[in-house]
Amino acid sequence: MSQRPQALPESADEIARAVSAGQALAADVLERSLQRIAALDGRVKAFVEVFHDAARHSAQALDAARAGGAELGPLAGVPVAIKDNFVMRDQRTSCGSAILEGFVSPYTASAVERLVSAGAIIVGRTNMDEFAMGSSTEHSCHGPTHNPFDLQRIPGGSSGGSAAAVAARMVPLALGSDTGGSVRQPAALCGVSGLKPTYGRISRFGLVAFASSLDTVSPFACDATDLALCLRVLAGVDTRDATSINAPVPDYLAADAPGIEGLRIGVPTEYFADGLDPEVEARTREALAILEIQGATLVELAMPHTRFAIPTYYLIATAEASSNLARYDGIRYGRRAEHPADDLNEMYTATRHEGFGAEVQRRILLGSFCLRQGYVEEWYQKAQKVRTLIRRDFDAAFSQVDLIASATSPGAAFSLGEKLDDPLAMYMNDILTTPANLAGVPGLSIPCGFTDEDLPVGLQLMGQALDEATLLRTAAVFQEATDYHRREPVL
Amino acid sequence: MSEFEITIGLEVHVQLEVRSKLFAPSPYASGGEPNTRVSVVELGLPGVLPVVNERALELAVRAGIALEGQINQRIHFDRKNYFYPDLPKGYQISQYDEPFCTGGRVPLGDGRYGQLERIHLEEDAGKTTHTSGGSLVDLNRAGAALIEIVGQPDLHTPADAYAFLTQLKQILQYAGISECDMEKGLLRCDANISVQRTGEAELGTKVEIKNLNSFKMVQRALEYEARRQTATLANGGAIQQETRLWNEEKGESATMRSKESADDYRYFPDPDLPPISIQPAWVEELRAAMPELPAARRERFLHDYSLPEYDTDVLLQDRNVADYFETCAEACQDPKLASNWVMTEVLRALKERDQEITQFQIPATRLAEMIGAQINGRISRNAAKQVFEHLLEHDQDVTSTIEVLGLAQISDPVELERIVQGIIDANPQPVADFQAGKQKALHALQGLTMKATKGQANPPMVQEILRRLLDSP
Amino acid sequence: MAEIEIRELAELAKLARLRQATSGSKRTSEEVAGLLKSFAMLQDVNTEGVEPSAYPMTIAARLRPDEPTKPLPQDQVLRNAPRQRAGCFLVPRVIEG
Ligand SMILES: [Mg+2]
Ligand SMILES: [Zn+2]
Repeated sequence: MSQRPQALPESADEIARAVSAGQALAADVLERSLQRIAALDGRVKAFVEVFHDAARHSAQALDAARAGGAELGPLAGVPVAIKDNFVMRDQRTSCGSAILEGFVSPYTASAVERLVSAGAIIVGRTNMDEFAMGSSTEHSCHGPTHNPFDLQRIPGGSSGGSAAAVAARMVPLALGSDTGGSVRQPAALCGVSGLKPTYGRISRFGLVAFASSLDTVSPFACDATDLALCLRVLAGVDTRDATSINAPVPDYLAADAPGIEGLRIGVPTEYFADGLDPEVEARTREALAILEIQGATLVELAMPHTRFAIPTYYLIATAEASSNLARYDGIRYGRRAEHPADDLNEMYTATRHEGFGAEVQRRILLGSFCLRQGYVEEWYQKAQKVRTLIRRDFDAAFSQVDLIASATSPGAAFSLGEKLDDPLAMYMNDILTTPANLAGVPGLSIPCGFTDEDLPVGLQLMGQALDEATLLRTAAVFQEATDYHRREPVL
Repeated sequence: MSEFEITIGLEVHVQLEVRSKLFAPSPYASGGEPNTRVSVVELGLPGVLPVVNERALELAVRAGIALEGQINQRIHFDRKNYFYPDLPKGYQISQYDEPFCTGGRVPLGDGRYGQLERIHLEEDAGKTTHTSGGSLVDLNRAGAALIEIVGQPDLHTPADAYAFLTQLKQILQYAGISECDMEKGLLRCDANISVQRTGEAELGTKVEIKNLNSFKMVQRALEYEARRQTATLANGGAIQQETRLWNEEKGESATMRSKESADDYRYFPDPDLPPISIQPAWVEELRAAMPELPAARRERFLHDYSLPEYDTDVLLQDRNVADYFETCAEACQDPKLASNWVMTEVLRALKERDQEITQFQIPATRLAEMIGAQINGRISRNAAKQVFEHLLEHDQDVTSTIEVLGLAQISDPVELERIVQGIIDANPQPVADFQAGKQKALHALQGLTMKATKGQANPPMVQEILRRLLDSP
Repeated sequence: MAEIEIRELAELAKLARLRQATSGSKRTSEEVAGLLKSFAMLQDVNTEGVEPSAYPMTIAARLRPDEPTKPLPQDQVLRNAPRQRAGCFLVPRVIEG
């Protein structure tokens, strides 16, 4: 038996090393995580459900395996929180929606399977905007999640629960999904690191679809090292997802990798336009200066179609969502509303009216509209053509630079309820993050400072398709030079 | 020329002969306990994704080649959005603006063709059974691999529609794409029909007929609908655009639903399935490996075997019968005689026994051997029939059967001449009659020879020998 | 423009099996019409000769071999069904027409 260490390790990387080496027990690491959740989550409300028994069972099994001489995986004993839009066998998944009430999955998402085989301990599922539609984690049937840096404020969204769980140090790693910024934006607002990989880099099988051509499985962590560790586990081809990419998975933070000397970082004018909060802009420019000091060259450039990203994104995302959400009909799973007997249409309508929240219904209507006969050319197909122009902006940029940098979110965390009645104002939060989804390229957000009110600000870096390594290396260099990512919220 | 013109277009759904579903790995065969051939994918659970079955794509492309369509190089799948309880995802994955095959044609059997609009790949829906207490949904069939063959509205008689379907089925069977068994639901057909005054440029109002469970039913339903529409128009009435259900028992159709203007399937490319590029070299490979199709085989039967059209068409109706015939014809080297035997005796025996040719008791080579015995005179035509009946019941070779039944014919010229000379010697009266010019007397002598040999003398040889001996001075 | 779209949105709601003609959905309709109005800026983008992108990038399609796997047991298929009968999902009687 290994003796219990005095202090438990902090990062996912340290936990996995310690547990693998027998210097820490997965069960102890988990208990500390559960204690922290018990102490703080009454106020943060990051979790929808904590898997106390299942997690303890897994941790004990892992410790027993290690005691029996088994080699453990790269995430051995790391507690991980999962956004409530991944399915796990024999567990509930709600997507923050009343329509999935009672749904228990008979299968497990590929991404979760990979985490578990790497030794991760799944501690619970986290809150989100209903079907990932939102930027504040307020649109959830479970109520809002609160930002750990200011409980009166939103954590961002839609993966706000996972971001808050990492920010409050309840878990070192959490899974989210990023369709238009749903991981990068809450990472920025909660002061943690979030990575949206290249579209297709991680299998979407078992991730409940919002907008299939934009959805990406995306992890949160406290720093780039843990993101790299997690991505290496998650990335790779999956025969169950026809859009998953069959390309080698590198060691994203190889010890012999160069620094960022000579790296060319593009700074697009359009990303620093009106509407960017002055404090956010200031922190972003300071961060760019730090990268310059580390050897990078900043290159001003133009990405002229950026201002069309919001309409393009919302038309495409809602069109796909209107179809993806047709399966919630109260027939095979989920909640069926009371309805008059012998009236199938009324069963459908009552079920969907009662089951979906207002934002989801709004988006289904918007999406159905752009696909209608007579409108599809003018709206959906038009948006697809502008998507091509946005992709070309990226192609042109990457012919000059290695990375593109900007703020992640145009402002820091806003107050709960502040934008709830103004959908367009809410949608504008995604202005800096949606282009990467439209072009399929990877992007990450790392903490780069704080506002006068002590609210975190995030720096976004975007890279070429499949070049997560350059993104993570740059983030790691930045985090070596700064300690914004180490600042914990006072709770 | 008649006052009205009929226009018919057929839409045929054919289930491909694959082992798993089009986008999901669960097995599919018709029948089975409800909801036992379903995976998370066809169940439309949150988070599932479709992946294309490569064999289904191959069979579809082969169907396109067999039906002489143009195989498109870039294909993608679209979602067709509508709500129905047996459509789990709320959309069907189908092909809208880039089907894998454009055009194509189906022979009508007489040199004419029915043209095709397109062929596309799509997934099947589940089955809904309506009971008084509600409707029951079984998803076993959901996701099964289908091709939809869309005919152009260029058929003008119900008989042509029947011919189209018969030939289409034959081609798809020959090409190994589907068994096309309508009873098992492996082939389903909807028919569109409109009637307009002859000479009018615009087609009449289209009516769709469903619930057609056999090719004959398609023909009857179209005949009924042509009469109904013609009568309505002749009486000054108008045709409603609608879908009608055929009732075979009553021999009539009734309105199922009038065409809703609200049908809007909101098609768009399925983002879960990246486009597939079809390599022309692959298509050529499939084309080269294509089994011989009915049209080519028909040509060959007509020309190489010199069979009449009637024989050819009867033999080609079932690919396995045609195979049987060919083996037999090649072995006995007399295609016409082989065709006579297969068309009459073999098909009759199968019908009596309610068997498929693949289950038939007499192998094709054995039948050929029997026909050979008939050709070389070892047995007579009548004796051959007895041998055939015997072989139907016994697994025995031809030679021993002839022996057992004592049917060997006397064809030895020396032996026969000895017997015939004996008959001549013993019967001076008919001999005198013949020599006095009474041809009938020859028949009497022939009959006496056959009687003396218990019917085993070779009749043409007997006749020849009689003439020679009687004519000689 | 927005007025016409609100009426059309009632039809849309029917297509999408969402409630129409209640006060709450009238607001939803107005909001959707408002969003469309602001998204109409796309109509001014010159996209002549531009191919639409239905996918974020060119991805080589991967196909699946025709190998059946074990299906879900019936009880797992029906596990979440709100109503079931005789091994089937039970829904209100479908009336054609
Ligand atoms: Mg059709
Ligand atoms: Zn069809």
